[in-house]
Amino acid sequence: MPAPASTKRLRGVQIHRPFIFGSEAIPFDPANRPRDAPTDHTHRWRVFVRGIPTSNSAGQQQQSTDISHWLKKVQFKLHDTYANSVRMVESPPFEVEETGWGEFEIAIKFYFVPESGEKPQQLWHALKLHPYTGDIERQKADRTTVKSVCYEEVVFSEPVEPFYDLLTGGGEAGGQTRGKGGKSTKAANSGSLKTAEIPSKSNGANVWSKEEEGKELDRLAEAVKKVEKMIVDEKAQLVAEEKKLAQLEKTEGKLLKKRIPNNMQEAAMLGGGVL
Amino acid sequence: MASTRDIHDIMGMGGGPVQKPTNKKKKKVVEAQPRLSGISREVQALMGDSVPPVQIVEPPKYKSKPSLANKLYKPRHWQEIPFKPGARSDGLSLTHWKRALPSHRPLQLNGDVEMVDGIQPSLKPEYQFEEEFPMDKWAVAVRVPDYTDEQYERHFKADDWTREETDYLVKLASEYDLRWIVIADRYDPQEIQSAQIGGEALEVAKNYSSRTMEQLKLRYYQVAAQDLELRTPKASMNPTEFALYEKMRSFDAKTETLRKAMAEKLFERTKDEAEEERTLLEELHRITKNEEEFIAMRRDLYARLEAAPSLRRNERGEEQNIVLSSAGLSELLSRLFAKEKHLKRRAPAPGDSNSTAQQQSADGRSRANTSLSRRDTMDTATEPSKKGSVSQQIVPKQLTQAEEERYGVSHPNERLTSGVSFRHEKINRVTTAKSQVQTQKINAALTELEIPARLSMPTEKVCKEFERLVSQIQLLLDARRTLARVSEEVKTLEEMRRQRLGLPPLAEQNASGEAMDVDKTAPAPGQVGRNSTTETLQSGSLGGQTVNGVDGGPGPAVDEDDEDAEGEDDVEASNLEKTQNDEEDEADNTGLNDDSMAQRDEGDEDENAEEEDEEDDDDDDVGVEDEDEDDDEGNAALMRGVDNDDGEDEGEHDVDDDDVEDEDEEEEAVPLHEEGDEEEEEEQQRERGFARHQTEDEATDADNDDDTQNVTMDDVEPEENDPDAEDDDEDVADNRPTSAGSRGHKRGASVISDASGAGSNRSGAGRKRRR
Repeated sequence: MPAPASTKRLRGVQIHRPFIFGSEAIPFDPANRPRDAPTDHTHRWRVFVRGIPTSNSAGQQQQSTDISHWLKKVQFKLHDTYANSVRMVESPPFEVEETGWGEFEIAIKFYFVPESGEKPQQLWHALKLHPYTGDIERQKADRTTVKSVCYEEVVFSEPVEPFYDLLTGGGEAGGQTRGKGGKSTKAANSGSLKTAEIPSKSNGANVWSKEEEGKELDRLAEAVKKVEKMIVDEKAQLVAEEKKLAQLEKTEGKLLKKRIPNNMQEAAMLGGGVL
Repeated sequence: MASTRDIHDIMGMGGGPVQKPTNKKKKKVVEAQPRLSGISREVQALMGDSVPPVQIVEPPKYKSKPSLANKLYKPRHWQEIPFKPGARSDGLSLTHWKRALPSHRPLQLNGDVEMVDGIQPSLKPEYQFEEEFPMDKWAVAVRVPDYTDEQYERHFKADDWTREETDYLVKLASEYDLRWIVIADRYDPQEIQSAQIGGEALEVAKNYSSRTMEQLKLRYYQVAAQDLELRTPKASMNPTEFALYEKMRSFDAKTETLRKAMAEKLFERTKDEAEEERTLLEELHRITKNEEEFIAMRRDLYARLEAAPSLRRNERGEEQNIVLSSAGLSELLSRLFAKEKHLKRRAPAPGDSNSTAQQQSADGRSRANTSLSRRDTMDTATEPSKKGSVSQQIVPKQLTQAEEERYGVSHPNERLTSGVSFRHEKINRVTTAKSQVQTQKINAALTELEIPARLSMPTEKVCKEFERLVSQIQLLLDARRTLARVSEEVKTLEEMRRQRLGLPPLAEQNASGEAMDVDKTAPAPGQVGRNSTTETLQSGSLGGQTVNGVDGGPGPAVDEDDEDAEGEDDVEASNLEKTQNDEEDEADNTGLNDDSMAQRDEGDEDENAEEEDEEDDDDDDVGVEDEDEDDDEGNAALMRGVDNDDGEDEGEHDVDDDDVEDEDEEEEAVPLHEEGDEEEEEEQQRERGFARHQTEDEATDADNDDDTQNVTMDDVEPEENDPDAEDDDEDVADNRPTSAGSRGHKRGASVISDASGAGSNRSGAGRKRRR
């Protein structure tokens, strides 16, 4: 691993990497309650930071894009009531599994690879144990997994040279990750795992895709259209009012600007205060 | 040691003396002592370190002087001997003293001095002397060229030298052993004649001119060289001969003259001139040295200038061309400036292709310039290599479009702040306006548009779109606010007109009574609906009032939500109310009065805000600020709606005014006047109208006591009615629960409607507070 030899930033360049973070929780099976869990705990949950799940994964072990080439380690700060509430995960998978009874905000701190020369960044995630949407009772009864996952993109503005090199498919660290990929039998498309692209279609394993992005864009565009229309209406109304105002001003003259001097106002204020 | 020192210390003797001797001793031990010879080691040891006061050892003895006294020494024999110097040919005899060689005969010990003197002549032949030193071997004569007449004619003839002169010169040369200074000194054309003993000597004398040393030398060397060559052909000369020959051949009289002249000049400089020359030389040295530095600096600058653009170019994946000339450099510089400007402008233009084209054209130009073959700088030779390495270092690779997409590389046009960020952070920043209320409004609007607080896919595109949406929403909110203001103004002017069209300006009480009646007869439909809903909620106590305030708030809000569930549409609602107010006012004399007052006040209060109000666009910064303040006000109003005991001054004013208005139109006028806030007045008027309706409708009579009280108060101190009003407020609350309740409701309704749309109503107050 080379020392951060160059701290020269590449001007005007921005590189982003998508990832997802979130939590999934499942209530204890009353019949098969884990023995080690404290008595008041009701759920088993897991908080994680992952790459975008790749579409070709169908099996149990979900594949996802590589985030370890830019993410070195992740620190999850749990509620203070947990033992060792600060959990540092040094290598992928970046996740923490726990049991609990309550929801709280987890601070997720991202430590980037040393080449990046960047400081750690923090995100908050609200742990969700209970279903809030849909048929709540049904979900509770079925003990379905409650997921709360957010898509996010990390943006490296003006990265330093070595990091840029690394993010664009070169560098020694890239080789390293490739090596790791090889170990976990992902070597086949290790190159593509370093990508910032997101799958074009959603599927069972992954809901974060270009398709989804398009939908979101449509939604926003529609909202913009709606607002624009309202602005047009508002403007029309405003024009009408202005016209009216102009007419009135013709006959009545402009509104008098100075009739009560300032001290009068003050007097009024003062009087209000005194009496 | 320490103990003795302590004692010394105690006895006041000081610790010094104790230490000194020890030091001395030590020093002596260390010092290398001169070794005394002649004394046995044991004796020396007895003496110890002290140096003996007298030199007890004798210095070494040297050989003593020979003394004649003890006759051990016999002086050598000296004798004056004549000799003939070998160098001389004239047989001159000279004498000199010579010492006799030491004889091997034994010395005569018994002989005294007289005797020695006496026998000296007899001993004379016994002495041996050294051979005469061959002094003549140093008496070398210079070999001067010699020539016959024939030879001279053939080889040595020169145009400006006659045979006589040449002869004379050669003679002098041999005479003075080529000591040129002497020769030049003695060279005398007169002597030539004397040397040439002949009858025509006097005539010839005129022809011979005196010669300078250089001329003499030149002539002599010519002759000598020629002579040398004649004697030994060039090919067979030995090195020394050849060197001499060459030297003589290459003698340049002119250079020599010049050299001598210069030397002369140099010698004859004055001190000042010498000084000046020295300073000038120093200056020259300094300049040349600085020039080197300057050149180095310039090279450095060029290198740096080159590095930046090359980085830029390569990032953009363009071809790399090396600027070789200063023309290219200046081009480059201007391009850099242009780019800087471009970035500053944050032009949303399709910068990539644009700037690319720009660059390419610039490159083309620079190349053209280069080809103009302008004077290349000194650095040209070094630059390319340097630059190449730099760019290599900076740009690791160039990516294709597809690759950029794949690796998520982009080149945004706006200024970047280096570092890491998350996309959604930006979203949060966008939705967070300056004021909390504004933020709430925006968020409400977003909720209304069914945009979740957290975007599900915050990609670059989505974020851009979202930003657009939020800016649109802000625009909309601004538009609404402006509209509200303009409509307020319109209303005021309408009131003015009505006033101008012959309604008596000071027919307050009667007119107010009429107005009430009229108001009752012509309530706006929306109002009625609202009133009816709230009337049911009215209760008879102050507490009830506040409760109503609370209840009334949500009630209408819900109603409005039905019509326009986004908070944004509230403006419309408020407008609606305003129009209602207009209707009321049309029939309301007092209303007219109030409005006229309000008008004046308005003019007064909103001096600076007036312009904004009149203009349709309020999008400037001030507008935004106002908005924020307005929002705060709106908030305050909300609070008031809930709780009448609001401590805020303005809140009080508002509430007070409202209450007073409810009671009595006369009073209204004054507090309004005092309040001086047109917009609030507008609102108040509206509310007043409501109150009037309600009082009429429910046939609750105005509290006479309060009224009269207020009236008197007003008469006495017309400017300071607020406190009275405050008192009245409570009274009213007590006495006329229904109206109060209705007001409470009304307050609530208006507040909510105002909350987003008509927040500007409070701008006047807001401004006042700022002042």
